[in-house]
Amino acid sequence: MTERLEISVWQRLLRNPRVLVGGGFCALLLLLALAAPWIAPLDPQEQDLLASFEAPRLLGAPADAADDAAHHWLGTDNLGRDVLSRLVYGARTALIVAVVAATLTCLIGTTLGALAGYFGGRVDALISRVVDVWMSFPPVLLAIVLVSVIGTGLVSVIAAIVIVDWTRFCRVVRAETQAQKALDYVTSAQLLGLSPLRILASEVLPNVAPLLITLVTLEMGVAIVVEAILSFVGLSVASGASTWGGMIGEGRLYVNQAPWLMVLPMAMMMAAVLGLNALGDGLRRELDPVVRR
Amino acid sequence: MTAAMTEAMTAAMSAAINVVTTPAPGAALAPPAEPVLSIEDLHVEIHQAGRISPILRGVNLSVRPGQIHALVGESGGGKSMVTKAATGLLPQGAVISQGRIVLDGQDVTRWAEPRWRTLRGRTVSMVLQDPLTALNPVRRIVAQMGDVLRLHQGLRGAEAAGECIRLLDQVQVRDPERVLRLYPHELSGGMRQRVVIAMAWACRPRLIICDEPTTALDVTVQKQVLRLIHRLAGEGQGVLLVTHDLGVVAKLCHSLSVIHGGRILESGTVHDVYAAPQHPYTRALLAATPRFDRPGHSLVPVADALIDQLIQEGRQYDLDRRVTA
Repeated sequence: MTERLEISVWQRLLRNPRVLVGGGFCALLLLLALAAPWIAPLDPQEQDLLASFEAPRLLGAPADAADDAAHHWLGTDNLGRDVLSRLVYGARTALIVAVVAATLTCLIGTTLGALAGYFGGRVDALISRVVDVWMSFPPVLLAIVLVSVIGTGLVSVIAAIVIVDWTRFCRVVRAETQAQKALDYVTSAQLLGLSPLRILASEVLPNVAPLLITLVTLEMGVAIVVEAILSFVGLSVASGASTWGGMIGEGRLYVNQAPWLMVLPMAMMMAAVLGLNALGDGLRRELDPVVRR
Repeated sequence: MTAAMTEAMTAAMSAAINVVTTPAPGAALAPPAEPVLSIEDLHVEIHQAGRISPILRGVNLSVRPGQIHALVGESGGGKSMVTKAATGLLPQGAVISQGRIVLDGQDVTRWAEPRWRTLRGRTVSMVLQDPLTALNPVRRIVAQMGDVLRLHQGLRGAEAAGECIRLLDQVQVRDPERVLRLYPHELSGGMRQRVVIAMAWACRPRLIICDEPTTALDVTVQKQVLRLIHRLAGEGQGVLLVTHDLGVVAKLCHSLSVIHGGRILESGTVHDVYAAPQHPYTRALLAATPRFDRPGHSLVPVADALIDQLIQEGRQYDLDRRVTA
């Protein structure tokens, strides 16, 4: 009986076009990131100044460069680095940032939100005020200020995203915990003598989980965009490394000469974010009614 | 609802209740044992936005082991507030301003939350009204029951599973092994309420509070659940049954207290109170109860009945202050 129920949830998920398309994009992104060394045709850092600004093959490479351009499916940048390889390795950076930042954001935001929602009173007042003040800052500005203070690098970027975005989780989880706390099963657990932390962890959180899954996927999209913004303004990983934001920033300088240098990483980023958002949206639609039925 | 339906339901109700063995009021009164719950002159106020509103204004109540004591009254009369006070779960802003609560010999009036937790589940537990919402929708029955057994009896794994099955067996759940693996929404209302009762019963608490345990159930299932409560009370626990169903009280309970406007207006054995209700409100409540033995007798809303009563007795009824008696 229970098996049947679980299968039906999975089946419903797989029948949802948003989940399918979004999940497909995310799977592709994951594959690119994990298998980057095998998929990328060349070393993303390898420069070949003689072969700079080669057009992507798909646009029709010049005939005389045919033998050389065989290697560069998506052309080369100003230093003759292979764009395809850089895009593939960029997926790696994007995914690391997305996964780590979203997980940490979720952990911090959920913990504080659940405590505020469950205990109410002074705990809630304190946490909620902090969130209000936090959210009154323009988020991107805050991230830029933070990174310039704590220095550049992948860790700083992730830290900046977490510090800026935990409030999103905190608010949503707080509201949901309050709603769950008003339900009888929580009273029932209290009446059976369970401690508050235990009730939070084993009774309330499983009921909040579908919401968290959705929020995490959306947060991953946000993290990718924020990382790109920080790369664009040169505050992310070292300039040599491949990141989509960095590529967009460098490509901007040659946008008349070689537009693909800017367009391709933008397309990648949009695809990744759209995929994550579609997945999150699909999951929300499918998972929410199960709990609220 | 048509009159025919009402009548049919009333008939089914009375038929259902008649099956429950009457505890022979009066005769069952063994030498008065120490009460498991005794509430003395309890006053509770709600402090909110600088205003103080009294909700309980002098409640006296005692439940003895092995007995079912009914707390009867209209909605808003303070019934649930009494159960909340007796389990230490008063809402934020509610303050006990006077009186005391003694639970199994311990004065728990001023106890803080962590101390209360040592009593809940072990000394006092409670069956809530709606069994659908009283169980966590996303956890299997075995996980929810297992929590209680692990917490209070330190049982784990196979031991806990065995105890779960024994408990479910006791509350007459058929095929307990299968039920344990299910989620609450896969069970019928009656099954859920049995599971809830089994969980409340798990550690043999001295006092079980049943807050309208049958209100959310079908009439036929109500009978079974009431019979179950009666049988379990026979094992020596005290039961405080909150209800507004005087038919149930007559057949199931040993004694009752009538609550209204935060005051206990009358209490005594079921036999005495039904035979000679002392307070006009009690009389009005009884007049507002459907009687299977008097077909064609129309029902009277409580307020009307109460005013009639008071007019007959030639007393003034102050609607604002209600009955102060």
